[in-house]
Amino acid sequence: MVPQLLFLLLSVIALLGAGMLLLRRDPIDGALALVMTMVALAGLYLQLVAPVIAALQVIVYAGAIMVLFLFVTMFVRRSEEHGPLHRNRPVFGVALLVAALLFGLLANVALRADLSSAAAAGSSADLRAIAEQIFSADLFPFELVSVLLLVAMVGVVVLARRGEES
Amino acid sequence: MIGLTHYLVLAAILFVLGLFAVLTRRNAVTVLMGIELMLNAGNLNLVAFNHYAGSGVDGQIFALFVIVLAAAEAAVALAILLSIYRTFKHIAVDDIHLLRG
Repeated sequence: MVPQLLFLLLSVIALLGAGMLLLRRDPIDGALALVMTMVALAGLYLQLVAPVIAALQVIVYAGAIMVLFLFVTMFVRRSEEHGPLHRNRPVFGVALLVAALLFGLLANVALRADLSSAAAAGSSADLRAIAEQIFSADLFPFELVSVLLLVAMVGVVVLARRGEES
Repeated sequence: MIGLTHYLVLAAILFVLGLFAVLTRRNAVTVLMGIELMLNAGNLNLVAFNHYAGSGVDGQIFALFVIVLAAAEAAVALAILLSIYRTFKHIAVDDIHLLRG
Protein backbone atom coordinates (compact mmCIF):
# COMPACT_ATOMS: atom_id res chain seq x y z
CA MET A 1 0.00 0.00 0.00
CA VAL A 2 2.77 2.42 0.90
CA PRO A 3 4.57 2.20 -2.46
CA GLN A 4 1.34 2.97 -4.31
CA LEU A 5 0.67 6.02 -2.15
CA LEU A 6 4.25 7.20 -2.57
CA PHE A 7 4.07 6.77 -6.34
CA LEU A 8 0.79 8.67 -6.45
CA LEU A 9 2.09 11.49 -4.26
CA LEU A 10 5.36 11.85 -6.16
CA SER A 11 3.70 11.78 -9.57
CA VAL A 12 1.16 14.39 -8.49
CA ILE A 13 4.00 16.63 -7.28
CA ALA A 14 5.91 16.10 -10.52
CA LEU A 15 2.85 16.88 -12.64
CA LEU A 16 2.03 19.94 -10.53
CA GLY A 17 5.53 21.27 -11.12
CA ALA A 18 5.26 20.66 -14.86
CA GLY A 19 1.85 22.31 -14.96
CA MET A 20 3.12 25.35 -13.11
CA LEU A 21 5.98 25.64 -15.60
CA LEU A 22 3.33 25.90 -18.31
CA LEU A 23 1.03 28.33 -16.55
CA ARG A 24 3.13 30.75 -14.54
CA ARG A 25 4.25 33.90 -16.27
CA ASP A 26 7.45 34.56 -14.35
CA PRO A 27 10.24 32.21 -15.52
CA ILE A 28 11.61 32.22 -11.97
CA ASP A 29 8.36 30.63 -10.80
CA GLY A 30 8.75 28.17 -13.66
CA ALA A 31 12.31 27.31 -12.62
CA LEU A 32 11.28 26.72 -9.01
CA ALA A 33 8.35 24.57 -10.17
CA LEU A 34 10.78 22.59 -12.32
CA VAL A 35 13.00 22.04 -9.27
CA MET A 36 9.93 20.60 -7.56
CA THR A 37 9.41 18.23 -10.49
CA MET A 38 13.06 17.16 -10.47
CA VAL A 39 13.02 16.37 -6.75
CA ALA A 40 9.80 14.37 -7.13
CA LEU A 41 11.42 12.46 -10.00
CA ALA A 42 14.41 11.75 -7.74
CA GLY A 43 11.95 10.20 -5.28
CA LEU A 44 10.55 8.06 -8.09
CA TYR A 45 14.10 6.93 -8.97
CA LEU A 46 14.52 5.85 -5.36
CA GLN A 47 11.35 3.82 -5.70
CA LEU A 48 12.84 2.24 -8.81
CA VAL A 49 15.92 1.21 -6.78
CA ALA A 50 18.22 3.64 -8.57
CA PRO A 51 19.78 5.57 -5.70
CA VAL A 52 22.75 6.73 -7.78
CA ILE A 53 20.57 8.32 -10.42
CA ALA A 54 18.38 9.84 -7.70
CA ALA A 55 21.37 11.47 -6.04
CA LEU A 56 22.71 12.72 -9.38
CA GLN A 57 19.27 14.04 -10.26
CA VAL A 58 19.23 16.18 -7.12
CA ILE A 59 22.86 17.29 -7.35
CA VAL A 60 23.19 17.93 -11.08
CA TYR A 61 19.63 18.71 -12.21
CA ALA A 62 17.93 20.32 -9.23
CA GLY A 63 21.22 21.80 -8.08
CA ALA A 64 23.57 22.82 -10.86
CA ILE A 65 21.39 23.08 -13.96
CA MET A 66 18.47 24.85 -12.34
CA VAL A 67 20.78 27.32 -10.58
CA LEU A 68 22.22 28.11 -14.00
CA PHE A 69 18.69 28.66 -15.30
CA LEU A 70 17.81 30.94 -12.39
CA PHE A 71 21.01 32.90 -12.91
CA VAL A 72 20.31 33.55 -16.60
CA THR A 73 16.63 34.22 -15.89
CA MET A 74 17.56 36.97 -13.47
CA PHE A 75 19.96 38.39 -16.06
CA VAL A 76 17.32 38.71 -18.77
CA ARG A 77 14.32 39.30 -16.55
CA ARG A 78 13.49 42.82 -17.67
CA SER A 79 12.19 41.68 -21.05
CA GLU A 80 9.45 39.45 -19.65
CA GLU A 81 7.37 42.14 -17.99
CA HIS A 82 5.31 43.08 -21.03
CA GLY A 83 4.02 41.32 -24.10
CA PRO A 84 1.93 38.16 -24.36
CA LEU A 85 2.76 35.04 -22.41
CA HIS A 86 2.29 32.65 -25.29
CA ARG A 87 3.02 32.81 -28.97
CA ASN A 88 0.22 33.58 -31.42
CA ARG A 89 -2.96 31.55 -31.59
CA PRO A 90 -2.28 29.29 -34.62
CA VAL A 91 0.90 28.05 -32.97
CA PHE A 92 -1.08 27.35 -29.82
CA GLY A 93 -3.62 25.23 -31.68
CA VAL A 94 -0.96 23.29 -33.57
CA ALA A 95 0.93 22.71 -30.33
CA LEU A 96 -2.19 21.40 -28.63
CA LEU A 97 -2.82 19.05 -31.55
CA VAL A 98 0.77 17.78 -31.66
CA ALA A 99 0.89 17.29 -27.90
CA ALA A 100 -2.44 15.45 -27.83
CA LEU A 101 -1.45 13.19 -30.74
CA LEU A 102 1.92 12.36 -29.21
CA PHE A 103 0.39 11.62 -25.83
CA GLY A 104 -2.19 9.36 -27.43
CA LEU A 105 0.56 7.49 -29.25
CA LEU A 106 2.79 7.11 -26.17
CA ALA A 107 -0.06 6.11 -23.87
CA ASN A 108 -1.30 3.65 -26.45
CA VAL A 109 2.09 1.98 -26.60
CA ALA A 110 2.45 1.96 -22.83
CA LEU A 111 -1.00 0.52 -22.20
CA ARG A 112 -1.15 -2.04 -24.98
CA ALA A 113 2.38 -3.37 -25.14
CA ASP A 114 2.92 -6.75 -23.59
CA LEU A 115 5.05 -5.99 -20.58
CA SER A 116 4.22 -9.12 -18.64
CA SER A 117 7.70 -10.55 -19.12
CA ALA A 118 9.04 -7.46 -17.40
CA ALA A 119 6.79 -7.87 -14.41
CA ALA A 120 9.40 -9.54 -12.26
CA ALA A 121 11.08 -6.55 -10.70
CA GLY A 122 14.19 -6.76 -8.65
CA SER A 123 17.20 -5.20 -10.29
CA SER A 124 19.42 -3.81 -7.62
CA ALA A 125 22.07 -1.46 -8.90
CA ASP A 126 24.48 0.07 -6.49
CA LEU A 127 27.28 2.46 -7.25
CA ARG A 128 29.76 -0.38 -7.61
CA ALA A 129 27.82 -2.11 -10.39
CA ILE A 130 27.41 1.16 -12.30
CA ALA A 131 31.05 2.13 -11.85
CA GLU A 132 32.27 -1.27 -12.97
CA GLN A 133 30.26 -1.10 -16.17
CA ILE A 134 31.18 2.51 -16.94
CA PHE A 135 34.89 1.89 -16.52
CA SER A 136 34.93 -1.35 -18.51
CA ALA A 137 32.30 -1.84 -21.19
CA ASP A 138 31.25 1.79 -21.52
CA LEU A 139 34.67 3.36 -21.17
CA PHE A 140 34.76 4.81 -24.68
CA PRO A 141 31.46 6.74 -24.48
CA PHE A 142 32.47 7.88 -21.01
CA GLU A 143 35.68 9.40 -22.36
CA LEU A 144 33.77 10.91 -25.28
CA VAL A 145 31.44 12.61 -22.82
CA SER A 146 34.38 14.16 -21.01
CA VAL A 147 35.63 15.56 -24.32
CA LEU A 148 32.12 16.87 -25.02
CA LEU A 149 32.03 18.62 -21.65
CA LEU A 150 35.37 20.25 -22.39
CA VAL A 151 34.13 21.44 -25.80
CA ALA A 152 30.93 22.77 -24.22
CA MET A 153 32.90 24.59 -21.54
CA VAL A 154 35.20 26.29 -24.03
CA GLY A 155 32.23 27.11 -26.25
CA VAL A 156 30.32 28.69 -23.40
CA VAL A 157 33.26 30.85 -22.40
CA VAL A 158 33.72 32.04 -26.00
CA LEU A 159 30.00 32.72 -26.47
CA ALA A 160 29.57 34.55 -23.19
CA ARG A 161 32.63 36.74 -23.66
CA ARG A 162 32.10 37.71 -27.28
CA GLY A 163 29.95 40.78 -26.66
CA GLU A 164 32.29 42.38 -24.18
CA GLU A 165 35.04 43.48 -26.55
CA SER A 166 32.93 45.48 -28.91
CA MET B 1 0.54 -2.71 -7.71
CA ILE B 2 2.63 -0.11 -9.46
CA GLY B 3 3.91 -1.49 -12.73
CA LEU B 4 6.01 -0.36 -15.63
CA THR B 5 2.91 0.98 -17.37
CA HIS B 6 2.29 3.56 -14.64
CA TYR B 7 5.78 4.95 -15.03
CA LEU B 8 5.49 4.99 -18.81
CA VAL B 9 2.21 6.91 -18.70
CA LEU B 10 3.59 9.39 -16.17
CA ALA B 11 6.65 9.92 -18.36
CA ALA B 12 4.43 10.39 -21.41
CA ILE B 13 2.42 13.09 -19.63
CA LEU B 14 5.58 14.88 -18.49
CA PHE B 15 7.06 14.67 -21.99
CA VAL B 16 3.94 16.11 -23.58
CA LEU B 17 3.78 18.96 -21.05
CA GLY B 18 7.40 19.77 -21.84
CA LEU B 19 6.69 19.66 -25.56
CA PHE B 20 3.76 22.00 -25.04
CA ALA B 21 5.96 24.46 -23.17
CA VAL B 22 8.54 24.31 -25.98
CA LEU B 23 5.96 24.93 -28.69
CA THR B 24 3.87 27.65 -27.09
CA ARG B 25 5.88 29.76 -24.68
CA ARG B 26 7.39 33.02 -25.83
CA ASN B 27 10.16 33.31 -23.27
CA ALA B 28 13.25 31.45 -24.50
CA VAL B 29 14.30 30.46 -20.98
CA THR B 30 10.95 28.76 -20.45
CA VAL B 31 11.35 26.99 -23.79
CA LEU B 32 14.68 25.59 -22.57
CA MET B 33 13.05 24.50 -19.32
CA GLY B 34 10.49 22.62 -21.41
CA ILE B 35 13.36 20.79 -23.12
CA GLU B 36 14.77 19.88 -19.72
CA LEU B 37 11.37 18.51 -18.73
CA MET B 38 11.30 16.35 -21.87
CA LEU B 39 14.77 15.01 -21.11
CA ASN B 40 13.62 14.17 -17.59
CA ALA B 41 10.64 12.27 -18.92
CA GLY B 42 12.99 10.25 -21.12
CA ASN B 43 15.20 9.56 -18.13
CA LEU B 44 12.26 8.30 -16.12
CA ASN B 45 11.50 5.87 -18.94
CA LEU B 46 15.10 4.64 -19.01
CA VAL B 47 15.28 4.06 -15.27
CA ALA B 48 11.85 2.41 -15.16
CA PHE B 49 12.74 0.03 -17.99
CA ASN B 50 16.05 -0.72 -16.28
CA HIS B 51 14.27 -1.58 -13.04
CA TYR B 52 11.65 -3.81 -14.61
CA ALA B 53 14.05 -5.52 -16.99
CA GLY B 54 15.43 -7.59 -14.15
CA SER B 55 19.20 -7.41 -14.18
CA GLY B 56 21.89 -5.08 -15.45
CA VAL B 57 22.44 -1.36 -15.13
CA ASP B 58 22.35 -0.34 -18.81
CA GLY B 59 19.30 1.87 -18.38
CA GLN B 60 20.80 3.70 -15.44
CA ILE B 61 24.01 4.32 -17.35
CA PHE B 62 21.99 5.72 -20.24
CA ALA B 63 20.19 7.98 -17.77
CA LEU B 64 23.52 9.11 -16.41
CA PHE B 65 24.76 10.05 -19.87
CA VAL B 66 21.52 11.90 -20.55
CA ILE B 67 22.00 13.95 -17.37
CA VAL B 68 25.54 14.90 -18.47
CA LEU B 69 24.38 15.81 -21.98
CA ALA B 70 21.53 17.87 -20.54
CA ALA B 71 24.01 19.81 -18.44
CA ALA B 72 26.20 20.54 -21.48
CA GLU B 73 23.15 21.47 -23.56
CA ALA B 74 21.79 23.81 -20.91
CA ALA B 75 25.12 25.57 -20.48
CA VAL B 76 25.61 26.17 -24.21
CA ALA B 77 22.00 27.17 -24.80
CA LEU B 78 22.01 29.64 -21.93
CA ALA B 79 25.25 31.19 -23.18
CA ILE B 80 23.63 31.63 -26.60
CA LEU B 81 20.63 33.20 -24.87
CA LEU B 82 22.87 35.71 -23.11
CA SER B 83 24.45 36.52 -26.46
CA ILE B 84 20.99 37.01 -28.02
CA TYR B 85 19.96 39.19 -25.11
CA ARG B 86 22.97 41.45 -25.67
CA THR B 87 22.00 41.91 -29.31
CA PHE B 88 18.20 42.22 -29.08
CA LYS B 89 17.66 43.31 -25.45
CA HIS B 90 14.93 40.68 -25.16
CA ILE B 91 14.55 36.91 -25.49
CA ALA B 92 11.05 36.50 -26.93
CA VAL B 93 11.38 33.69 -29.45
CA ASP B 94 8.74 35.19 -31.75
CA ASP B 95 10.76 38.31 -32.39
CA ILE B 96 14.16 36.74 -32.96
CA HIS B 97 14.19 36.23 -36.71
CA LEU B 98 17.19 38.17 -37.93
CA LEU B 99 18.55 35.19 -39.89
CA ARG B 100 15.26 34.97 -41.77
CA GLY B 101 15.92 38.39 -43.26
